[in-house]
Amino acid sequence: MSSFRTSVFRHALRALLLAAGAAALLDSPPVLSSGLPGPGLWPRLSGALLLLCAVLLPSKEPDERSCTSSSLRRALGPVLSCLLWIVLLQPAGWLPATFLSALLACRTGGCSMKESLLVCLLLSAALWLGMEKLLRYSLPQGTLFVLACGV
Amino acid sequence: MDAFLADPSVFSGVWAGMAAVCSLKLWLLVLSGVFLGMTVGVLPGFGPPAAMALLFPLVYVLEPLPGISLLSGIFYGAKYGGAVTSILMGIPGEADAVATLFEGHPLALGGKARQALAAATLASFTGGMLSSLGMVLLAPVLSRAALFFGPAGRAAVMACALLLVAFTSPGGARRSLCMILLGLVLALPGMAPVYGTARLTFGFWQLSEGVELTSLLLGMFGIGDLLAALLSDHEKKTEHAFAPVPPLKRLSAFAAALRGSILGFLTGLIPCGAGVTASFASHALEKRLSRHPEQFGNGAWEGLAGPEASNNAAAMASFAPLLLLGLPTNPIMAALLGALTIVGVVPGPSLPESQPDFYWGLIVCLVMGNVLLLALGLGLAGFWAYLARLPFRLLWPVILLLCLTGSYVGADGISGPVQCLFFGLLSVLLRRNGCSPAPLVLAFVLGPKLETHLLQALLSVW
Repeated sequence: MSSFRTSVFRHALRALLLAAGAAALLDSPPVLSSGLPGPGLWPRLSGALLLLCAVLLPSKEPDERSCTSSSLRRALGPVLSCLLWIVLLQPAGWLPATFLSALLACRTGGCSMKESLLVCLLLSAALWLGMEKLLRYSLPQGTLFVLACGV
Repeated sequence: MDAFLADPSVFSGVWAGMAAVCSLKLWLLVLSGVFLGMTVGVLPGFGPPAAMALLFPLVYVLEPLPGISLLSGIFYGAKYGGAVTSILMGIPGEADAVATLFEGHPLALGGKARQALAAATLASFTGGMLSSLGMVLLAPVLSRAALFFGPAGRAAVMACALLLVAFTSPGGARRSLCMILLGLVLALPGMAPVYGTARLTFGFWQLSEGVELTSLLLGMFGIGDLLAALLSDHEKKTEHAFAPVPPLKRLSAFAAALRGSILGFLTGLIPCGAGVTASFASHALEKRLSRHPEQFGNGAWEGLAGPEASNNAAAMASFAPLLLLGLPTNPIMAALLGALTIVGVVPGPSLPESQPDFYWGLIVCLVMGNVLLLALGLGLAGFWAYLARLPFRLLWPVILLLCLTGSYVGADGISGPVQCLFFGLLSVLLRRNGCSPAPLVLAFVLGPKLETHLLQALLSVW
């Protein structure tokens, strides 16, 4: 199973590099503009070199100690928290999104409910004070909050 | 030296710089940056690039000198902070602190932890101060030399810098070259330099301004470091016993610190992961010069002081090519170059004359930051030991939400956090394949400038 994962990682990187190189090569403006070097010269050069290097990318020996099922589950916590934050930010606003995402992150990270609530409350409060009051940056209030206030 | 003594602009510039830093707010920011840098350096798995990325959005709201001084304080503060975990726990906080571990940890195990921390602090201070002095003396020389560089010369220097990084970065030359080229390609979407036309946006208006630097940094080093630590058995590594802290007694490695400072300063001027190179080279040099080489590996003071001094000296020296040539020599300097661009400071040979308040003010801040680092390092040894023992499960949610909020602020929209998450996952994919994200970031920042200089050179001869 771990060798399958390693193979997936290896091929995914090569595919990504090939896709990036192909995009730069194919979707760029023309190389010459009125007979002079144009805005497409550098992208096509970079893209072509990236395609070449992607083909020559060496394979890494699989590390049996890394990327176990338990470590993948541990790493899933931050990813889900990020996705939750991104999904909630505009409808619910920054404060609820941050609190709920931090709560999910703490719980998936192995914190007790008490620890999780403490970290979430302190983090949300400190960040909100720092951004809104200290730096005077308006954090999104959320569509639902605005609608509720309007009602 | 005659040129320096005969040049009145250096003295007037230093005076202008000292006048520019007469602000309590500025000193508090420098102190905050140094403290945060030391804290980040202490936390295993969380490096200075991530800390700088977290505070990067502040650059938009602070004035140029306070903003850049804050980020710079994080940089050299973290260099010392990495030594704390190396000495106390045998875990290097970052790559530059590996050589410190060779002698620092055996000293701690032998009951001399506080002495080792104090020696590392004093050595870092020595390296930083001597390197700052070198920058002051070198500024007129570098400025005059840089005037001989036209667009072709600058493009060649940048290309050579990227190639040098490719051949000296971990993972091998082929992987590093891939990372550099990927970084160059990531910098392509948005407005083309020189021509100002949109390219590679694929119909997405969010890409019209290109990939956002803050999101890239926070993703690659913030979320990326976090995911990498969770994918490994990071929690177990932090649960080590630490040595008690006896009082300071010994300062016998001053000569080693001086040698390390000179070595670090010279290597800091060139782009090849200077901190790591300098610290290992210094350790090897001290072992070669020592009358008791058998002590090395068992707690030799010279082997601790030399690498620490060279580490910090290289960090300080890397500001010289950044400010005077616009050439970042490592990913942190690349991020600082991005910050300089945001605040409207144009690095180059004319910077000391065109913006003397900023240039000399920053040098004064670097010097005073080293003094603050000395005070904090000597006074907070016990605190660092406590912080390094906090469970990682309490720290990473804080890191995660800081990354997301910071990327939102940097991009001023939801595209920032989306890019941040993407680059975090990309960072994991790169590390799984033995690729370091550092060359990618360096190339991302240098790419537009390299393209501009190359086009200018070609257009001048076409």
